[in-house]
Amino acid sequence: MIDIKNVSFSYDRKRSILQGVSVSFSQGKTYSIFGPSGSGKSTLLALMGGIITPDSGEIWINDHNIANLDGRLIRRTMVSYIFQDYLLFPFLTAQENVEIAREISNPHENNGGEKTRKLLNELGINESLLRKQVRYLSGGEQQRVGIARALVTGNPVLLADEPTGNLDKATANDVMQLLIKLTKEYNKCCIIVTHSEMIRSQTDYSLLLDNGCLKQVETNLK
Amino acid sequence: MIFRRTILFIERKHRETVILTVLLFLLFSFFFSGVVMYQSTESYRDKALAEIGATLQISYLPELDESTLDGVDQNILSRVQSIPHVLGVDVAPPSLSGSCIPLGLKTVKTHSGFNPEQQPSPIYTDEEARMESDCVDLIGCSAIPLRNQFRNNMSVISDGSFPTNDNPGVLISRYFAELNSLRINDVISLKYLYSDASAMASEVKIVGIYDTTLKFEILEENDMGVAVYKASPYNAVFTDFDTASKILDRDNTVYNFKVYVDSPKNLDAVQEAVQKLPMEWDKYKIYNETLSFYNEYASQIDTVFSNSLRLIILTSTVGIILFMVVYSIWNNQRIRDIGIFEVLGESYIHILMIYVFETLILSFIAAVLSVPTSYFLIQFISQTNSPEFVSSNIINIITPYDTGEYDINPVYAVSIDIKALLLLLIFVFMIVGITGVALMFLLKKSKLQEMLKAGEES
Ligand SMILES: Nc1ncnc2c1ncn2[C@@H]1O[C@H](COP(=O)(O)OP(=O)(O)OP(=O)(O)O)[C@@H](O)[C@H]1O
Ligand SMILES: [Mg+2]
Repeated sequence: MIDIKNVSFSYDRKRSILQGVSVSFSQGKTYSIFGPSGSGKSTLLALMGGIITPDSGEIWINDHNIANLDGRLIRRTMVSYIFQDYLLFPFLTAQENVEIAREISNPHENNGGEKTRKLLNELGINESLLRKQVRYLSGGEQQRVGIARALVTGNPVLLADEPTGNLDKATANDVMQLLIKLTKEYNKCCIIVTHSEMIRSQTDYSLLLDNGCLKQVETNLK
Repeated sequence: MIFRRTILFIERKHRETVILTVLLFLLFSFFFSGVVMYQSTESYRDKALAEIGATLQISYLPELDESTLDGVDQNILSRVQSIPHVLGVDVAPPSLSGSCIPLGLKTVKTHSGFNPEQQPSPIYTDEEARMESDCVDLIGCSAIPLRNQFRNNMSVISDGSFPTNDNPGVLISRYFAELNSLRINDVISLKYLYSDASAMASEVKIVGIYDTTLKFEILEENDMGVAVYKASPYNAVFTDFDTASKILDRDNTVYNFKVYVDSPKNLDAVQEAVQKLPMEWDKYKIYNETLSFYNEYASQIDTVFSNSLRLIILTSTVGIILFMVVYSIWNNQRIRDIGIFEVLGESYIHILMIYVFETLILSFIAAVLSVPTSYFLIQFISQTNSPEFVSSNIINIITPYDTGEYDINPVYAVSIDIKALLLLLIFVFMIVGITGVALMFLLKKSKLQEMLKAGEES
């Protein structure tokens, strides 16, 4: 699904953030990436979605070298993001936020509105919350909308950067359970950057990013 | 789809929408008021200058008396006539006109504005006023076609021709002719109102009938009462110099004359040439009428003209800057929103379109509202008695029909024409263009990672 081959990256060409990272991610599996702050976890996610491009090395998604693709196209058709601070349009309702993402990825889809509603319901956003502007929703509810927005696109890869970092423990757990459950249900490849031990134990694989290298891979698969 | 999304954004960001629309609305209202006033005064100024024309008045010195003068020689007049750039010479003004009773005929009493019956006429006794109201104003003149209303085509001969010394007779208005069923070559009797009781009426032939677009409006400050009817352009009777002096029983010696010149540019040259002619220059003086009229009236229009230009420039620069400042209040939010669109993979063009449509729609709403508002704004400006703008003087600058001192017509009309609307449209597109270019700059320059962080501070 995703093959990262010997990728190096630095923001300023002086201090290198990633050095020769090579790793593969497959469909239907969940991954967690952890590591000290500033180790380059977010940077790695940004590279996979074409937000930034590597200095050297290659990133392949579904047999495409993404160096040859427009970043927008990658994010429209392959990779969806879930952010720590949700990054929703605060003035739009939950439904409208998700609907916009769906329209961008699948503009000609029939019955898309229905699909959006069902997905949001599945994530526990009921009918009255659907029509509320998201700025009036709680953090947990907002992140559920964020997850729905990522799933609705039909993109095979979900990249979540500390998705529960702003939530309290109980809510974080709920949201994470949902995310992992739906990832499996929709057969996505989900990569979660996290500091939480608890989340790490729930993903199929766990990777440590330290000093610019992916050093250790734990497996939780039985 | 993009359009629908724009509408959604406008609807949801209602606070921003309302504030920006109100701002644009104020900006457009002032801008459009300026444009309309500018254009109205511009055309008004052109009209005023055309009305003033280019004339020199040669008159004897005010301390002298006609009895001490020999009058101007016919030979001199023809030499003036042949000076280059001279259109014609009018030998009558200012004295060869007067009220005449058209025996057995009615005068036209149609007008707009105030009812003269209800206005006091301190300068006439009631009896005199009633007599004058049944009179026509006989105007003797040797250059009728050069008078304002004919020169500016506000009055046009529709039947017959202009009276001249070789074609003596009278020129009457179509209103007057129809009211009395008169036709060309009919003969009417005119009697000078203030002639001796024993004097005979003069019989004159109608040689011409003119149509006029002049409007006769009686103003509130009319001090003639019903006598004002005599001043109606419909009751004006033009005649040649000789016929006038016969009817008015005046000596046909020329004491004063007016020189019509083709353009104000040539006035100096003509004045110089006239001054070289062998006249009694110790008794006569040349007045540059154009210049004095200009100083009296047209310079006021110029003030309005330049003030409205100032209004346009001021409002557009202050307005655009203010708009950009207010627009940028939401810049962080906007940058973040654009970042979200980019993360979702929306295309550059679509993102740009959403924001351009947004300002376009707000601007159009503001522009549509600003047009009727400008109308009231102009009224307000003109009614707050600020003489720099539409002063009351402007209303009375030009009397389309030379009636002497009193004010008749025309009303300063503010007209909203296609050109003004077009300018407003250009201004709207300018605003949209500026925000569009600013946004394009932003989109090209910013890094997505930074854009996503933009919202954090706000
Ligand atoms: N846009 C940028 N320009 C320059 N340097 C950056 C930029 N973004 C991040 N960095 C630097 O790159 C390094 C890695 O940043 P990154 O955000 O990937 O770390 P991280 O592992 O996600 O950390 P955290 O756990 O705190 O989120 C940091 O030292 C950071 O200062
Ligand atoms: Mg990070």
